[in-house]
Amino acid sequence: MRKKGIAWMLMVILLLGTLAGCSGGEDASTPDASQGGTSGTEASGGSADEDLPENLAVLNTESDYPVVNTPITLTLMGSRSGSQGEWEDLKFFKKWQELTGITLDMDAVLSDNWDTQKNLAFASNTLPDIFYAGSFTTAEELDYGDDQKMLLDISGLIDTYCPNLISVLEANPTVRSSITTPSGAIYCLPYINDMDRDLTTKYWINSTWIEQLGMEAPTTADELYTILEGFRDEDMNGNGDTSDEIPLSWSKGIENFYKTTSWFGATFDTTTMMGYEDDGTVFYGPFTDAFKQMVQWFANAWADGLLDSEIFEQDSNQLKAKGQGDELILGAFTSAGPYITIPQEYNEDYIAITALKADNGKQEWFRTSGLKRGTFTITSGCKYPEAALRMVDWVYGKEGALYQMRGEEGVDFVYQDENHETCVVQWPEGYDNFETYRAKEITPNSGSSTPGIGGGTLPQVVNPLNDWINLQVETQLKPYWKLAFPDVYLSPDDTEKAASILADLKNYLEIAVGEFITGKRDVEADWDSMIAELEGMGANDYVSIYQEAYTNWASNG
Amino acid sequence: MAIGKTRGDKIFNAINYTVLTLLALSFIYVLIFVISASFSSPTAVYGGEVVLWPVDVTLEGYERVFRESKVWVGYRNTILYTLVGTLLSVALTTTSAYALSRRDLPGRGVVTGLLVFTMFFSGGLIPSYLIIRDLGLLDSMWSVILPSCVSMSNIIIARTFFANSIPIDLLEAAQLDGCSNSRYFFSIVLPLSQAIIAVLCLYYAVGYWNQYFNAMIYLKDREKYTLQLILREILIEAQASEAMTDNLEAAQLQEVSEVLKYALIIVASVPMLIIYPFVQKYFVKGVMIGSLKG
Repeated sequence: MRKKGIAWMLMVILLLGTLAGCSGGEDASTPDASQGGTSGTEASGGSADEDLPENLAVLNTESDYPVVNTPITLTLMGSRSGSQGEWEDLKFFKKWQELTGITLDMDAVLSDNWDTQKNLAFASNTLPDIFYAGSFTTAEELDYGDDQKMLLDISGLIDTYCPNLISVLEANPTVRSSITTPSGAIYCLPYINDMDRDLTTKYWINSTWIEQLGMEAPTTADELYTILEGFRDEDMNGNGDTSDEIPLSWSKGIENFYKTTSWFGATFDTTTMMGYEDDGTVFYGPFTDAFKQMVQWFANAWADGLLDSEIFEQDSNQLKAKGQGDELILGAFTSAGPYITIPQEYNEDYIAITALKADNGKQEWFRTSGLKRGTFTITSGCKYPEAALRMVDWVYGKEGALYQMRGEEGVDFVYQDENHETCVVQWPEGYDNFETYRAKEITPNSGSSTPGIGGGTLPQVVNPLNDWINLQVETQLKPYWKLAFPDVYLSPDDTEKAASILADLKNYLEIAVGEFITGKRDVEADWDSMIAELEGMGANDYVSIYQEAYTNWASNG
Repeated sequence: MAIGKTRGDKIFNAINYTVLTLLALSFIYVLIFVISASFSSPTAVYGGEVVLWPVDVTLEGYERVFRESKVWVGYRNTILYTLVGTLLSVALTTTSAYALSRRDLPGRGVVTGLLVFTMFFSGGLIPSYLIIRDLGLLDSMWSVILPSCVSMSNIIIARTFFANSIPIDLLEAAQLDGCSNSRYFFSIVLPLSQAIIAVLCLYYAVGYWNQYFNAMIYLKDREKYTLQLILREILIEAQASEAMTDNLEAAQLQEVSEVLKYALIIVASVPMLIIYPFVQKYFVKGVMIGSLKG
C-alpha cells in the first residue's frame, strides 16, 4: 500500500512538472518575444571572421560621420546611477546615435545592481554587443577576456579606427601599458580624467584664522600641529566661546588618515596600500617609518583634543551640518572643495594644506592616475566591432568629450570668449544646480564611469568658487605631485590571492590604527607587534605580487 | 484574581512590564523619529537637532516625492503585485496545507519532505535566473510573484492549524451527508479558518510589499518597477557619490536626495501600517494556533 502511494505521488509530481512547464511556456510566448530575438542574433554572430566583409561594408569611408552608411543596431548594457534620467532620453545618447547612424538598443542597469546583472549576463551568455560604463575590473577583463574569450581583443583595431583615442594615448604615455593585459590584449577602453582638481585629495585649512594667530601657512607637520593647537585654544570665530572650534575634522574613512602619510615622507595608494620608489622597488605603506610617524602624530593630536571626537563615525552630511551651522567652527577638514562643507562666502578663507616637508627630506603629495579602466568593452559576439570603435572614438575627441560632459553648446553651455577657452553652464528652472540637470537630462557622465576624457583640455567652466579650488590645487599641491601607484595588472591567480590578503590586512590595519590614534594601544610599545601581525597575514607575499606586477608594467611602457 | 499573586509573580510582572515597555518605547521612538525627520529640514536632521519633534518644519521632502512620477508608477505596480501575489499565494498555501493536513493523503511524508527541502536548499541566483529566463518570465509581473509565491513556513503554520483546529469528526459527518472533499474544503474548512487566512494574507502581503530582490534581478522595464525598487534607486543617488570625496561634481549631487529619504520611508510604509490594525486581532489568534501546537 505504502509503496503504491509513493509511486502515485511521484507520478503526480512528474505530471505537475510537465504542466507547469507548458503553462510557463504559454505565458511567456507573447511578452518576451523580443528577449528571444536578441539572444538569437547574438548566437548567430558568434564568429567575427565570417562577417568580415559585412562589418566593413557598412562603414562610411568617405567622411568621419556618420560612422555607417547602412543603419545598424548595437545592443548596449551599462551601469546607470540613480541620479540619471532614462538613458534613452538623455541628450548625449540621442546625439550620439544621430551623429553616427548607429541605433543603440540600451539596457541600463541601476548601479548598485550592476555587478549582479553583469555576472548574470556572462553566466547566462546573453551578452550585449557593447558594455558602456561597464566598470570592468582587471580581474574580470582577464577572466572574461583572456580565459573565456567572451570579450573582443581590440588592440589590433584601435590604431585604425580610433584616431582620437590614439592621440590621447600618445599624450599620456603610461595609459597604454595600463590598459594592456599581461598577454598583450586590450579589452577595455578607459576614462582618462585630466582635471587636476579631481586627481588629488585636498585638506583645507582656514588661512584667516592662521593670520589671526599671527602665524604662517604650515610647511611641516609640526607647524600644522602648532596652528591646530592655536585653533583649539583661541576664540577663532569671535563668538566669545574659546571651545567651540574644531581644529581638524573629516567624515569617516580611515583613508583620510592614510593619505596624510605624504606629509611624513611616504606616498602610496590608500586602497592597495602600495607605493613605489623611483628605483623600481615597491613598498607596503604601513611598513614605512612615515606611516608610524603619521599614526603617532594623530595619536598626539587626539590626546591633545585637536581632532573632532566624531572623526571616526560621522558621514559627510554630518560634517556638512557642522560646517553650515550658525558659527564657523571647522578649522581644517577635507572635502572636494571648501564650499561643499562650509558656507560659500567663506570659500576663499580656506587654503589647501600644501605638501609638508617630511623629516626624511621628501616633500610630495599623492595623486591618483585619473584613469578609470573598464569603461567601454566590446564582446566577441559583436558583429560590427569596427563601427563600435569608430563610434566610441567620438568621446575621446574634444567635440564628443565636451558633449558627453556638458551637453549642447548654446543651450546647456555658452562660450565666454572668442577662443572658446571658457564657458558658463546654464540649466532650466526646477534644478538645484547644473550637476543635477546634466544627470537627469544630458549625460551618463554624471555618476557613471563613462569612456572618454575629462575636462582638463576642454573649455573651462567659469565659476569663482571652483576657480579658487583649481588655483589651490595648481599652486599648493600640483608642484609636489607623485603618482601614488600606477594602474597595473595582476594575473587572475594573483588577483585572487592579493584580494584575500588585502582584505585581512585592511581590516586589521584599520582597527589597529584606530586603536593607536585613540590611545587604546601605545604606538611605541605595540608598533612592532602590529607589524609582526601584518607579516603573519601575508603582507610580504602581497608585496612581492605587486613587485612583479609593477616590474611588468614598467617594462610594458 | 481568585488565587492571590505570589511575591515571585509580582516581581515577574514588574520585570515583564518594564522590559516590554522599554522595548515598545524603543520601537515607537524610531517611528516617531522618522516621521519627525520627514517633516524637518535636512540640515537640522544631520545636525542632530531633531530628537523627538520636527525642527524647521518643511514639506519639501513630500513635495519632491510626489513630484516624481516614478513613485506613482511604483505604487501602482506594487499594489497590483501585492494583490495578485497575495491572492495566488494564499490560494496555493491553503489548498496545499489542507491537503497535507489530511492523514489519509497518500505520500504525505514525501511531499512534505520535498517542500521542506526547499527551505534549506536553493539553486542559487544564476540557475534561478536561467530558469526564469527560459520560462520567458523575465521582465514580467510573474517573475516578481512566482519565485516567492509559496513559503513552506506558512504552509506549516496553516497545516498545523487545519490539523488541530478542525476536528476530524466534522469531516466524517460531512462525508456521511455525501459531501465531497472540495465542497468540504470550501464550505466548511475555509469559513472556519478566517483567522489563519488573515494571518497568511498579512504575511504574504507584507512580503510582496517589501519585495525588491526578485524585482531587481528580473525586471528591466522601469514601467514595471516596484515601489521598493524606486525607493532604492532614489536613496542610492546619495550614496553613489559618498565614496568619491575628491570629485567636486559628485559632491554636489549628494544633498539633493537626502531631502527625500525620510519622506520616502513614510510614503512606502504607510499603507502597511494602515492595514496592520485591521488584521491584528486575527494575527494574534491565528499565529498562536498555528505555531504552538505544532
